[in-house]
Amino acid sequence: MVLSRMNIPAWAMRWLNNVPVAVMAALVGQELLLSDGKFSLLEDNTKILAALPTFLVALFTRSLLGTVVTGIISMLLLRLVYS
Amino acid sequence: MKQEKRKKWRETHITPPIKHGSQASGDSFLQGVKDCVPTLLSYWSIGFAAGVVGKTAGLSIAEIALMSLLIYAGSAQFIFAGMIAANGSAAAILLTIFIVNLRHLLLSAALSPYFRHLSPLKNMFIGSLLTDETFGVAMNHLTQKNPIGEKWMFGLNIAAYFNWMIATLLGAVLGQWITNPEKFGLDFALTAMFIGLLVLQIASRQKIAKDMAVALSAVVFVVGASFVTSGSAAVIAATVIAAAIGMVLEKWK
Repeated sequence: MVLSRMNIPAWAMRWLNNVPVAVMAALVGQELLLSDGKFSLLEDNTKILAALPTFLVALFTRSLLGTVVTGIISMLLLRLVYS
Repeated sequence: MKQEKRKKWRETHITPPIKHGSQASGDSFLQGVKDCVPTLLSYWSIGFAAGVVGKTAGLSIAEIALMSLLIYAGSAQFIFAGMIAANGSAAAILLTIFIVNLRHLLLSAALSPYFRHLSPLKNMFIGSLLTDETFGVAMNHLTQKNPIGEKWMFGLNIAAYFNWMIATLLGAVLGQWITNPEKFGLDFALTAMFIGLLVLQIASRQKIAKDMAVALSAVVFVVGASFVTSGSAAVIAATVIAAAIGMVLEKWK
């Protein structure tokens, strides 16, 4: 609403254009690599393992639903195996 | 000076014809509703998942319904549920949701030229009901040189909104019977959705190399910043820096 009446400088548009990718990547990085705000790659890597098939499904099917379901199922299976 | 800027801006953007209130057959409210149908499946599934995840995170059915009604953003609702389950602070939740939904600002901005002739109030209605899917359908229509009018947009938006509400409610009701979400891996749903959105975004844009660079730097910075500050602040700092890197890269290419 506001933007349709504003003229935003070119560099700001470029920055805004990159925000979606940046924020998603930062969130994924936080979810997978950090736990309680600290780097925890060495302790609990179930999340990273579950993330692998999730990434592949996202890449090949381009389906958000498929990705989420794959993630859930991967996590489910990993937990079964580990416990 | 401003005139020249505006003219230049217009020339670099395609502007298909805009309907001014008249209702051709391809442009009506009902047609908007019909055009929403292909995306309904995704609304149903994500909405359902959002409902289930919300319920298992401890939210009541009333709270879930309210979220769907007021927030109406799948990613925000997932984040909310995930962070509540992990006992995140209110400020952290708000900040994260705000940043993630910043992309809505971009989507609205992309569509706004086509609705410039409408009053601000109507623009607000259109903007507040915008989602990734409705944006996708609208963009698709535009690239096929079909004009889009406000009634069509309303049809599209309301159909999506309505289905989202029902889907999340159903999910919440079903979620009542799931007592141990971790056992089913449901706590990973939020992360999986982020991964999906990240991949989808990079895949749908033309500049894969640059996006990969931005994504990589975001991950590096988020880990680095976490040594200095809290998790949520790290996400924000990483986003700002990584987006800036992308901005600079674009200028140099």
